[in-house]
Amino acid sequence: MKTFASRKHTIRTLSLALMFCSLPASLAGQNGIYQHGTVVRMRMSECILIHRGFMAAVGGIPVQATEELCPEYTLVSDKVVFIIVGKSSNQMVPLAEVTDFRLHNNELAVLVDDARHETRFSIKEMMLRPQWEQVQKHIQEQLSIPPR
Amino acid sequence: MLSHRHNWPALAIPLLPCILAIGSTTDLPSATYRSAVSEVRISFFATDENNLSVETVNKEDFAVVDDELVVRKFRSFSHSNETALDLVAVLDASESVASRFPAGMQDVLQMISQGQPGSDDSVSVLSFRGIQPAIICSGDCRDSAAAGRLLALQAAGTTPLFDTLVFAADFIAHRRTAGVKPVLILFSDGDDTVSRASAGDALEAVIASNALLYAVDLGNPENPSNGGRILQQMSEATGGRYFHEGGANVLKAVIEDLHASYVVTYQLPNRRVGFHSLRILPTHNLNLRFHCRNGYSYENIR
Repeated sequence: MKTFASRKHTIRTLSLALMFCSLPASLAGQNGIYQHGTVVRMRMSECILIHRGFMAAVGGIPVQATEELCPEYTLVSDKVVFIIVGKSSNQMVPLAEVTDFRLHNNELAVLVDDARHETRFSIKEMMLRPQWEQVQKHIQEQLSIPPR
Repeated sequence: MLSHRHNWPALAIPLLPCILAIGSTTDLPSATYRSAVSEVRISFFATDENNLSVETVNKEDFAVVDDELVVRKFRSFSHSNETALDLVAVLDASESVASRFPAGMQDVLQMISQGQPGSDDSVSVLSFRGIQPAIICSGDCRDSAAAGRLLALQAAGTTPLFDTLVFAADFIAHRRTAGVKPVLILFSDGDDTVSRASAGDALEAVIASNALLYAVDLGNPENPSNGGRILQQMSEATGGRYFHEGGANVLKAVIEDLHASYVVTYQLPNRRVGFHSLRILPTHNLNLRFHCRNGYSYENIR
């Protein structure tokens, strides 16, 4: 009887832990705190190395060269355009028409719908959308000039 | 009438060399019509997390990344109309694969025997060692003489892998037939020792031939070399696949991939002249992996 009660307690604890873990995503969904955007560009670029810890912060640890390439995405939202980079070569954003995301601790958390979880990306660059559109227009103009 | 003329050159960038080649051999009027190609056509198939072909794919399941731009609007999406295979098995018979050569040869013999007589599929076999490749049989390898020539092979000498891939690409390109998918199945350890051509030359030749490259790694798994990585990169760049072992399963995979192949077309996203990189990525299910060639060359015809 005692074993059964103990097992029941364990299951309840595990359930609570699971609920706690999935709370941010589910609350975000329910409360509509996710912003919406569209990924318009994707390329492989150098990974952003993040050194953690006190020694890294004050000790001037040199940036390590890495051959690994990480996916970089241009995510266009209503007002801001984000350039985000994955933390490993296989961290992907589903390229659906609409991407749900939120800002969290200087990172951008993308909701991966099929897997019902978030995946976090480093923010490499942020730009106001009108400014980004102006840059894109300029690039398009340059590309449309026929080569000599 | 004019509008029809405007449409035909826009068939496909990957097909452009073929169109031009056909055009040069027929009696054309003296006036030559030229137009800029405005449509991209990609053939692809998908596999799941277990590396098995996915039979049903919808156009909402993927987006194309063309020259870094994400394309979601497609002009057309359909099953591939290629229903037969032109298989060319390329067997490394150099000294470096001596220990796994008998297994590779058995896989090739099995592939020949599995081919269905009377079907539109054809099987050819090339081998390479020393300084150049050799044609064991071309088109029909089911006769006993071809099997005899294959069984007489001994693993010895250097590895002209990249030269052989250039040769094989040319070989398969000259056999191109509408409705038939050209496939190179390479059995090798990937460690070239003597070629004049580079890995880049070999890859370029295979991509230009429109063939898919399936690579079976004959390298020693206990002593991995750079060759395995080269085989994987080359096969994936052509839209094919890489197998560590189990060469006997390759033909099954090739046939399944053929039946699960799709063709998507879309408007050229930008007219930048040169190489456009290509990827197909999932829109929601990140377990799906899409296999297609890794790019095409765009030449603006004015």
